[in-house]
Amino acid sequence: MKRNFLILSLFSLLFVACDSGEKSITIPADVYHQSMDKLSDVIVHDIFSPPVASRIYAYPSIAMYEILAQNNAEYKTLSGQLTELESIPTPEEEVSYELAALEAFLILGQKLIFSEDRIESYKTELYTELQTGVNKSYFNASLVYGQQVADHIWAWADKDNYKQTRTYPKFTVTDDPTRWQPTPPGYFEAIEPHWTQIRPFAIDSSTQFVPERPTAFDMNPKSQFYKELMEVYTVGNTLNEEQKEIASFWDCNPYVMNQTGHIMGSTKKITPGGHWIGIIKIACQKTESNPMKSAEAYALTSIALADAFISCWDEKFRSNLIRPETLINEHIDEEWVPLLQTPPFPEYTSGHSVISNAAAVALTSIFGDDFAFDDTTEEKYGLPVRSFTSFVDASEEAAISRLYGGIHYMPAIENGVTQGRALGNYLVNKIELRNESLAQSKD
Amino acid sequence: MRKNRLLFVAICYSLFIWSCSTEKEEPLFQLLSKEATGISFSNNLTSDRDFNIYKYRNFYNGGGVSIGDVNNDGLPDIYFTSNQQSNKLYLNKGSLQFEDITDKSGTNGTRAWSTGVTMADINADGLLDIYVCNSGDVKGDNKQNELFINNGDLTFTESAEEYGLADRGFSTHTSFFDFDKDGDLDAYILNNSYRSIKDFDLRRNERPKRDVLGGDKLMENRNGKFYDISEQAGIYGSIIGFGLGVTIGDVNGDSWDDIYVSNDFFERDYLYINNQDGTFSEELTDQINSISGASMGADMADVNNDGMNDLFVTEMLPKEYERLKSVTTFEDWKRYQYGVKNDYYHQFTRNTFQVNNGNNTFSEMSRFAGIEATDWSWGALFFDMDNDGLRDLYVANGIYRDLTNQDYIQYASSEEIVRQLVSDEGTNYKALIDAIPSNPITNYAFKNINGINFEDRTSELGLEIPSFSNGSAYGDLDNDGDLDLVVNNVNMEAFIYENQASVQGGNYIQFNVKGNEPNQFGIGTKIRATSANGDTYYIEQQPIRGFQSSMDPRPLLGLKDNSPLDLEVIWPTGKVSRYKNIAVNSSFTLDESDQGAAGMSLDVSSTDIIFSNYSPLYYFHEENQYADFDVDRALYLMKSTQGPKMTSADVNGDGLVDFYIGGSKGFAGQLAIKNGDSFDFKSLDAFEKNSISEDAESVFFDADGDGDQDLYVCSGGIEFGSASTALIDRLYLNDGEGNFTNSNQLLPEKTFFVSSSTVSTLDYDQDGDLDLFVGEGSKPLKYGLPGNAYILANDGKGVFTNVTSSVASELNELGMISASAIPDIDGDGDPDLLIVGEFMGIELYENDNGQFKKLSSNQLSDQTGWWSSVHAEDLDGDGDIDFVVGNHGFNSRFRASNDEELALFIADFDQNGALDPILSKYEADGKAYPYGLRHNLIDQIAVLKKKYPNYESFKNASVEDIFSQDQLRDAVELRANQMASVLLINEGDFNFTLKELPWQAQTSPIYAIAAADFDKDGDMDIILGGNLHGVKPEVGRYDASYGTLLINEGDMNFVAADPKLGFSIGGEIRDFVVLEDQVIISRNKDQAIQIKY
Repeated sequence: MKRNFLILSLFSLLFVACDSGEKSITIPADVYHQSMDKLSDVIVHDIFSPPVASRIYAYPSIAMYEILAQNNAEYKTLSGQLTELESIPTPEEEVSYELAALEAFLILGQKLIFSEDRIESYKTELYTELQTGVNKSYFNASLVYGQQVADHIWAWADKDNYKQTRTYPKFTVTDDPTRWQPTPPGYFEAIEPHWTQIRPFAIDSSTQFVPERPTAFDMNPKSQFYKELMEVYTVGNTLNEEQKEIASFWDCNPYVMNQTGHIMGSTKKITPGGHWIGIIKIACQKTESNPMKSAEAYALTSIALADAFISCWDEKFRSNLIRPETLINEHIDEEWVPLLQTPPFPEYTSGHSVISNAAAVALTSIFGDDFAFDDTTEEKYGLPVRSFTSFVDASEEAAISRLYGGIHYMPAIENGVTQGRALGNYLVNKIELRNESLAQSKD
Repeated sequence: MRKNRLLFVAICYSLFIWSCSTEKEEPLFQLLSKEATGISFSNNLTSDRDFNIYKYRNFYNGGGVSIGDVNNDGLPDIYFTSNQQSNKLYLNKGSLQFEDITDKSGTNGTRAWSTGVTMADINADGLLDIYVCNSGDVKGDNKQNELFINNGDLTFTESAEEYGLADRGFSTHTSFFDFDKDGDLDAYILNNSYRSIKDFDLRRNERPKRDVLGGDKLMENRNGKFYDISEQAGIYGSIIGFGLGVTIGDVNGDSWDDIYVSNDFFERDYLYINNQDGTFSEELTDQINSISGASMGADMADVNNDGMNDLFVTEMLPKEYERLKSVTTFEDWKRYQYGVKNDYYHQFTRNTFQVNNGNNTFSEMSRFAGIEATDWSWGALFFDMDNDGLRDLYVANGIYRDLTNQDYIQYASSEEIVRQLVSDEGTNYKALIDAIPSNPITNYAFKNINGINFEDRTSELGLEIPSFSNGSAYGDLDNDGDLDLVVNNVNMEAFIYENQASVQGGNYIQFNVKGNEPNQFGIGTKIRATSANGDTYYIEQQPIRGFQSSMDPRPLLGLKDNSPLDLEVIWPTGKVSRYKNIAVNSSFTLDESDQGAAGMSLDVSSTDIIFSNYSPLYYFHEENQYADFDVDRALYLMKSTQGPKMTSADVNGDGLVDFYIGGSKGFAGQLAIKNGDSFDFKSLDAFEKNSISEDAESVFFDADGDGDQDLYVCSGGIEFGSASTALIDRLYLNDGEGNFTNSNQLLPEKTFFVSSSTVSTLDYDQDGDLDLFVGEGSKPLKYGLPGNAYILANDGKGVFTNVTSSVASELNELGMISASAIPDIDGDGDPDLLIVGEFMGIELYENDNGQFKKLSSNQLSDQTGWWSSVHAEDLDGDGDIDFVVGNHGFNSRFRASNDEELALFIADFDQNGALDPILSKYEADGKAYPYGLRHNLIDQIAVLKKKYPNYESFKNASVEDIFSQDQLRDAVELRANQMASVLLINEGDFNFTLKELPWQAQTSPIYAIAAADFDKDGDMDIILGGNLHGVKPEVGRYDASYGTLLINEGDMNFVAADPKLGFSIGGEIRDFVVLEDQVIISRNKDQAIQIKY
């Protein structure tokens, strides 16, 4: 944090200092990345579940994109392209679109999380730096415009059924042996059983990408299902070091419980979606993308992530499939513990597989195939760097990591990959961000 | 719904009559200074990198105290255990002055971490030895227990190995007792598992697997050496034993010692019944219904002077509101169900007070007694503090670090700090531990008022100093005839309290128990005393009790007065001694070898049985797996388990009474046709077609005037949307032979569907046919919103029309109606209405020529309760109708009075389309506070997480703080001030005297009431049934009732019959059908039974 502000201070030296202040302000792309990091931090702190976190990333990213695109002829608005999104208002005075975009991003971020003061204090510090040498009324007009757009986006967000689903019925556990039940050690209730009712951003409906049926439940040792169960068990018991590292790298569990005697602690990490938000920053920095292109990457990828969660959760609470840990303990080895803590929702399909592959398709459409990168996203959480040859390479590793982690059967991974890619491809074909076709556009 | 403060004359059974000792007296207990006593002991703890609360989960459990006379000079001495430093032995020099003789006596102890301590004469030489339990040494091998054998010259020799008592487990405490009555003392070693809590998967129930090293052990004394016989004796000693208390005494009156083991964490407690053959049967789940979750120390004593041991187990539930809201979390419903499913039983976060019913069952009465919440408690001691003849209750509590501080767990303990902890490298333990708040809290002392009600008198008794207290022990340190108190504290000097009861008045007798060798202290001796006034007392010689401690081995009984006593003494060997006319207010020696006193044990006189021939019927009530809390997450009590209700009539004209028993959702109702001694149960096609409906109530009556009994069934419950046709009530018409056909009318209302809860028949218009009254219960997903009541007019042919608006317009939006009775209350020949419900008063409507008028001055209307059932009967035989009205009772976390009412606020506070019912209570400051914890409220109203970012900010927020004035103005507010089940004595002209039913009738919510002359003495007696198991864990299920038989003693005086008279039926009783000489009893998710009277 301190280090980032030092960099920022250097930038501010570039501003033309003047008593009356300039009616211009340059905000480097890193400020947006840093603000996104801040949002991720608060999401981690407030312990939002993966689907809810994907929603929190999407609305601020869309607001940021819409404002910057207003001022950039190369880019198209998302209004009319996303469900029920109408054109954002235009500014009445001369404003900095970059500042307004930042302001709208932070206002929406703050509304969507719980610990508001964490964003508030970040913003206060950031704006103190940014306003140095800038004309005050120009600065304020930009903030007012940012607020207007944030209000517009918020009114849209507020109708996505999120509020209503908060008190919809909880998942009822029954004696059905095929049905998901809470898993150790926390035995938490199922997360977001009604996420299918959240209004999607760009896909037609939550049921547009229903995957193949999961393998029929059958505890006969000769059955396909049993083989797949045994695969989780066997692979879990024979993991090599790299497989363990892969599983841990992609754990992305926002709340891992640790109990020491009476003390219940927790380890909090970014969500799967949060990991991909981190990869966007890496890609943008590596390509030295400007704020506009960065906003494009955030908007498209966060929409892909959010819709992928809606699609995946629709399936999870359709099939309600029991987790391998439950069955292995019951039928095969009562002492078996998966490498990763089983997250609290039904098994099929694998969320990480669906959303990572959707995100990879989105990022590939912007940064291209064979985009090699070093993924430092998890460094903050004590995990090493991993290198990938492409976004798809990373998304495939994220998918298979769930087998190594002992929390998914293979069909949830394979069919999850298919589901995520189909959804991603649909989105990048449907959503037009550039005025010329995306394929031809290169910065 | 504002409460009406009309003064209302109600004669109550005055449970609470005692003279208020408000005159300023010296507190009973005086804290003595270390200068005065010479005792400067303090159990000081030091955390370091290698050893701290993260490395050892029992780091803050503290030490124990033993009181006993080690040099037989008549003055009890004191031994303290120190966890990390030298233990201390203080010699009593008289006048409450003590000398530290630890070093010269050689009783320091050398092990890593000392816990519990016991004084007992282990080598049978008449001198008290000291047995110290050791633990804590996680990695090393320095935790063998120590046995300091008394050499008789104030020196001791450590000899544990030699006696076979150098146990290597994480020992908490050890009790010595003669389980096999062979004359010598055996031992129960209580251990706490080696295993880390996080390593357990609940599905692997490890209870049956013995852990030879670390498990609990029963050690048999064979010629002075101890041998582990746990396995053959049937004692669990597994890796999931987290023993924090072992309590020994006789619970079933056979004079053989039984064992209660309290287990911390997820393992349930054990109750071992002595089989009298060297083995035990673990019978907790047969005898006890609800237990403490993280059970700590316990005590066992006869609390109500009925001659049987009752039991108290401590837990961690805070009483203080702000601590409840900041350091407590409860299991959610599913997690609780998961524990039950995996055989960990019904465990709850609260102390439990198991009152012995004398028939191998206990009723958990902690909530009734008001002793369920004493914060992080370690041990409890029942002793008569003020020598008034009733044992009072002392609870030592406190934890040096609030390990369960919710903000610490949610936020401070996580992120960077815990990441370090988990990686286990470079952890700054000090920073981690220092971040946990440290708050000393007050211990608790409750005065026993009448054997069942307790009152918190901590500060009046002089025991209110905030502390971190663990083991404690009582004893008469100054031999003045009262029990002084010694408390071992963490990082604080020990408390030595001098009891002034002997100065302030009060009566007592103290016993010197001299058993035959080798048990010279007579451990296990049972003493029954009867005073010349007929008062009875029971005490056992068992000094080892409470938490990690042992008491002065001279049992002391406080007495109601100074009249002399007759004594019956049952020695552990089975020998009986008898003494007559013993003077009190002095000590008295009981000597087993005294032949003059020898005698036979008296037979207990047998009593006349009222109910007998308990036999199950061929009917088991089933429920689907609906969990109300998944849908209505703010509810505390389930609404979907109110059945089965029954109604009786001769349906086939054979002259025998049959009955209908309602089905729950998915299960059709059934007819029970009388056949010989029993009933044939059968379902009919007509019933099967409506099996989707939940039968809430039913009545047989002749609807169509053809002379046979037709059947009206209420379709109710909360499992259907308001548009569901499953809510249509049904009228089945009888063909005279018991075949029923649905009349297919839209009932009770044609234009919308109603979840009905009660039906009664009446001829309101006196036209000769039977009309109907139907009441609406809790609306699905709209808990709290008022329902309607309906009058349905019969056209004489069994076709019913809703005529409410023309004949009873005041019945709209009445409330959540639960029950009704329609007798002629004022004796004018037409039926009137009495309607009760949840958050409702007792509402009366007078029938005025076919028009129902709400009584304008009905004082019963102000008696707002959670009324659940009503029965109309002329109980005093004066010719008018009286009522018994069932309510929530007193054995509950929900308490209410005129000054501190329960309140329910209902509104869609977060505007998300769902109503938010906020159950709250008005406290003494006039503000309402929610029952929900922060995360419960956030679960219902997510935006509150922004307003209350942490537990600290929420911990004293009232409803007015949480919601804006505008929000509250638009909310519906319901209140309740009366939780008692009551009698309404008809005084004529719609005036009633309200009388609380006796306390035995207040042990659970009442759902079933019936009256008949059960004891055949010519007047009407009452039976009551209740219990509710579908209750969130923070509230705890209601399971203390075994049904109540109230015997009519005349003058509207009803006395609860001893369960031994035959009325003792467990489970969730929902209805009674009283036949000529038997009662049919229906129970939720259980077998229906019949019982003869």
